[in-house]
Parts: sequence; structure tokens; C-alpha cells
Amino acid sequence: MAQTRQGLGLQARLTIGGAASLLVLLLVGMAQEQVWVLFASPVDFLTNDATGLTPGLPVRLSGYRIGSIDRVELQRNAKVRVSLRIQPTYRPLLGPRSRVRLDQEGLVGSTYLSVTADPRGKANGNTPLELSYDPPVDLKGVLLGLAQSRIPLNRLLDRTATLTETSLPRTISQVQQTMEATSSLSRTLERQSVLTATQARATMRTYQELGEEGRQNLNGSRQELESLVPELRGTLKDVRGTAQTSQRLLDRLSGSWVLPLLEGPKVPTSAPTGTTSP
Amino acid sequence: MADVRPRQDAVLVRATSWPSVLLAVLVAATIELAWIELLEGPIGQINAVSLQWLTRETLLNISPVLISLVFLLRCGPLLTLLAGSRGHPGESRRWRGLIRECQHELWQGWIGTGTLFVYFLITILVTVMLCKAGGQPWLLFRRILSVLQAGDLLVGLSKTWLFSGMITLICCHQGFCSTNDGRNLGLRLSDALLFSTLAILSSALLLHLLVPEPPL
Repeated sequence: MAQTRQGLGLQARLTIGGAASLLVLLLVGMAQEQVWVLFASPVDFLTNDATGLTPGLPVRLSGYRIGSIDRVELQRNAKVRVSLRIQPTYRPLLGPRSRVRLDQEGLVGSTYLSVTADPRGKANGNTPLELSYDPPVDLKGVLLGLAQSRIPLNRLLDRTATLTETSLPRTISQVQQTMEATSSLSRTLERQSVLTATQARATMRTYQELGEEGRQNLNGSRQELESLVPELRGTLKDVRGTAQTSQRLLDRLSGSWVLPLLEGPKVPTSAPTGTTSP
Repeated sequence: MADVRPRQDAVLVRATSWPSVLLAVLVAATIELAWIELLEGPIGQINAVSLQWLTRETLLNISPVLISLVFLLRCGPLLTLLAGSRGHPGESRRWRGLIRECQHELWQGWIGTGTLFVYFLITILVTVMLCKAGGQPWLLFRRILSVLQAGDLLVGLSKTWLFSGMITLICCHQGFCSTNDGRNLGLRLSDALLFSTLAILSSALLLHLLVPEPPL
């Protein structure tokens, strides 16, 4: 053991100094991440269930980390008070209407506290704040509902499978038959349409000729009527003059003695029984 | 003519030598890799709660025991030989006298194990960061820093110092009780290693069972 009395070796000094430096850096990093130096007022909330809420859990606002959970304490009324460490820079973004919710990155990612902003909270930036906590979604209930909905879903799938196995081939066969009939019909229509088109064209031509003739007849009739109208008008005028003359003649005859003569002697009517004529 | 007396800081020099640091680093990396594989399980991803649990268990239960074993492996024989070379102080058979006789070694052991504790912890953080960062090592490092509790750090360091003190006292006691006979010194040395190991493990078990850990 050829060791001598001397000071601490360079290697030991380096090792111990390195460890001290690393420890200081570690503590500084922890202080920065966990916001040990807190000048802002405390922020906390009460909850009936603190499952998943642990000290050090990140607190995020709009997905950005602004602090972490400081303490989780059970109160005398069986509620749990959760205190948050919020960086003073972001503390004014929170207000009385801010809400806290336990959130998670993806389905199996790490959990964090999500806080909503309340811009009106700027006025109360230096007062203690108690936020409202929205409990997380009950995963057990969701799974239970999923399991319950699975039974009718399976039943529906079974029915669908049965229907598919039985009715679908028949339907496909019917559709194929319908398609064949439609194809045959279209071929027939195609053949008939040639003949029908010729006949229709001849018929149309006939109709056209008839129309022309009718129009010509109408023109002739109108011309004849137009030539007859003056004659009819003169005739009507003569008839009217004749009627007036006859009227005047009758007026003269009505006051003369000729009319009673033409009418003959009057026959007296029989009087009722029991009455005497004067 | 060189002075043949042993240097006073021999325990500290040996505890903080590069083989000791390398041994602590390798043990930390190996244990942490196995711990992560065990913790991940079927999910294959560490969330905040499991990460906090991992760091707490590592700090409180694993690090003190492993660092103390490294210290025992490196400095236990030296402590026994140093105590044996001092002769037989009359008061060394009592605890108070033993502590007074070994106070210099106790301080060296505490500084040495404290140094190893820091390297152990840094190795654990770096191992988790490199193995499970998924392309974002700095982000995971910050997350670990956010869940690392100063109280756990202090409790783990206190446990390490408790175990190193027990090692120092047991080894020195065995050295003081030895004679100049080489056979007797060898027997005392093996006893010192065995008793120290038993003391560390039983103390860790008792502390784990008796002292309640604060909830996560």
C-alpha cells in the first residue's frame, strides 16, 4: 500500500465537481419545469374524483404547457383540492370562467390538464382563482354502452347476412331477367321504329296536305262570307223597313171598324148558378 | 523514502474513481432498461403516471440499494483493511466510540455515495431519454424533470447515505476486531461484506414496509 499523504486527487475532484454541477443543473431544470419560483396568485379547483390527477401533471392551455399540478389534497368534506402552478406570464389568461378538464394525447398517450382561457380574467390576475373542473369521460360507461350496443348490432348483421344469402341471388337473377327483357324490348323497338317512322312520316305528309286544303277551303269560305255580308245587310234593312210598314198598317187598322168585323160577333160567357145578370 | 501510511482520503478517492463511476453508470443503465421493458407491458408506451412511478421507484428503492452495493464492492475491503491497520482502539467496540473512530471515513463515504447517486440519476434520465424519446429526447427530458419530485430525490439520497454509513461502520468494526493474522483478516473481510449486504437489503426491506410512501 504505497500511498502517501497528499491532497485530493485531480480525478476525484473532477468527479465530485462534475456531480455537483450536474446536480445543480438538474435542480435548476426541475425548478424551471415545475415552476418552483411562483409569484402569481394560486390557482386551484375542487373535484369529487381525483383519479389521474397527480403532482407534476402538465397543465396546458390551447395545447401549450403553462404549468403543472402542485398539490392534491383530500379535504374534510371528502372533496379533493388540486392546486396548480401556473407560470406568471400566462396567469392573466385564466379567469373565473376558465374550465379544467383531464385530457389525453390520443388513446394511450400521456394525460394532462387542459384549461380553457378566459380573457376577462385579466382584471383578476392577482387574486386567488378557483376554477371549475369537468370530470373526464367515464370510459367504463362508454365500454358498457358499447358492449350493450354490440348485441343488437350483431343481430342486425346476422339478419343482413341471412338476407344477403337468401334474397340477394334471387334479386340478382330477377334483375338479370329484367335486363334481358329490356334488351329484347329495345331491339324490338329499334326494329319497329324504322317502320313506324316511315308511316309516321307519310301520315305527317298527309296531315300537311289536308291542312293545306283546309286552309284553302277556309280562305274561300271567308271570301264568300265577306261577299255575302253586304247582301245580307241590305236584306235585313229591307226586312226592317217591311216590318215598320206592317206595324204602321196594324196601328191604323186597330182604330178602324175593319178589325172588329174581321174578329166576328162576341159570344156571351155563361153566368154562375144562382146569380142574375143585370 | 516514501511515506507508507495510507492516505486519509483513500475511501473518497476509491469511491469516486472512474471504475466506480463506470460501474454505477452501467448498473443504472442496465437496471433502467429492464425496468422500462417491464413497465411498458403490452401498451408499449409510458404515460405521465407511469413515468412518475418509474422515477419514484428508481429514486426511493432501487438507487440507494444499488449505489450502496457498488460502494461496498469498491470500498468495503478498503475500509476493513484501513481499520485493521489502525490497531485495536479500546472504544471501537461500542457504537459511540466506533462512530468517533470512523467519522472521517463516514464523511468520505457520504461524499462518495452522493457523487455516485448523481451519476446514477443522470444515467437513468439519459437512458430513458435515449430509449423512449421517439425522436423528441428534449421533450421527454423536460417531462421527466416535470414529474421528478424534490422530496423523492432527498429521500433517496438520505437512504443512500444511511446505507453507506452502515457499510462504513460494519466494515470498520470488522477491521477493528481483526488481528494481525492474515487468515483472521480475510475472515473478517468476508464477514464485513456479508453483514453489510444483509444490512443493506434488510434495511431497505424494512424501510419499504414500515415507512409509507406519499401518494403519487
